[in-house]
Amino acid sequence: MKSVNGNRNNEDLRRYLLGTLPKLLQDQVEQRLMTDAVFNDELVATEDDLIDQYLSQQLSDQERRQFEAHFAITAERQGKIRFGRIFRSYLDSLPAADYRARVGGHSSDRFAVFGAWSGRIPVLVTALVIALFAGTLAAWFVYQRQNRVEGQPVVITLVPGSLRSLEATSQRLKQPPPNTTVQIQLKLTANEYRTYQVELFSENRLVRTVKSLQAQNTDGDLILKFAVESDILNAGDYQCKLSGISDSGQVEFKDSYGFRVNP
Amino acid sequence: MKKNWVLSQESFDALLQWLAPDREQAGQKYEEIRQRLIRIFTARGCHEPEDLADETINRAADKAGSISEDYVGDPALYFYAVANNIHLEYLRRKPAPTPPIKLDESNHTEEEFHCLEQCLSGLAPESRDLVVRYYQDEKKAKINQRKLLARNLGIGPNALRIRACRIRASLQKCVEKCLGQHFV
Repeated sequence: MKSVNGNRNNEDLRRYLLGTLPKLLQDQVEQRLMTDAVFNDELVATEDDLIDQYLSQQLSDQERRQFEAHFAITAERQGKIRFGRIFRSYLDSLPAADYRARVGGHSSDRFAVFGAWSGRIPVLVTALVIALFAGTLAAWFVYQRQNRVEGQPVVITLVPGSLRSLEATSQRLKQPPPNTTVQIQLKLTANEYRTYQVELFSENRLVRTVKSLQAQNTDGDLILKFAVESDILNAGDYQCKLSGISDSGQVEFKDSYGFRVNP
Repeated sequence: MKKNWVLSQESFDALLQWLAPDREQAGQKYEEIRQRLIRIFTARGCHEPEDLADETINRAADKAGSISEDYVGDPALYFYAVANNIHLEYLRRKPAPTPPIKLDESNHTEEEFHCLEQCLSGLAPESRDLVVRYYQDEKKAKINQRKLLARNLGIGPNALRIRACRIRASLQKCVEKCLGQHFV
């Protein structure tokens, strides 16, 4: 069905749920709902998204009115909204990711400094500062954009070994630029499990757990690949604790992989 | 609307036979169709979506024996056509408009959080990790997190979304069961 395919699905389903989809499209959506299981799953996921956006005040005034008057009228949906509120409170109570706090801090510091100066200097100088600042900001955005679009993810391949042996190895990484992805590849000595999990520690502090990894054969090497945001990798020593998941679901420690991020 | 349609055993058997030759598969298909009809009536703003869905099924079942042999296409679409008639009859009855609902914004009880934590810990570790990481964070951080999750799991963004949504639904069921009541 052309009109509800691809990227339009979500928007059409949102409008359908809010009761603002034109009748013709509504009929098409409903016929597809009757016959397409995946489309049904998408509808349920869109309901969850709408609820989360409602609870986090991300709906427009019009959408909010439609949500309350049209969407939230059945007991089932009110149950979902109530659960969404509990779940959201729970998630908000979890520690925020370090990188988010850091990125937010930098940005507000920058504007605070600018604000403090702007009230004290003559207009001409202010204009010059603004121009310079805008230029720098534009260059920064271009740099970020190029990094995202053209930049290959930083890749580091690790062999088993403790942090103590770091001095003698090349398992080092220059601190990657912000907002990039670092792909970590762990070389395995044998593939004994169907799935693995990796816990990434920084100075004995767990910063990330990656599960359901499967070994891949790359150029004759058994490799486990996973990706992390560069923002969680500050200068310092890191350790990947590799465990295999047995058929009975037991987590069995296998190896440690150390690496260092240099400033 | 003609009320009190009764689904006879004969009609029910004919209906299942039409939906699938295997009775178990037919039962699953029946339940899928019912759930989808409920969603449609809900989306149309009907107050009693379950009743309207059952009415639709009863009426379609009544015809199943006579039309199934000549009917071409997915039977679900026949149910949809019947549902449209049922909806028109519902509108003709001019149901009272539902007043806008004052959504409950009360603080959550310790019990609710306890149930949620208990249900989260009952999930498989992979599912727990997925559902927390998928729904945590805001805006750009959330987008990045989801990209990473999809990459690490080797699935597309839509498959990840549906997987997270299913885990969330099972979590909600578990919490409701734990609390011994529905959140209404």
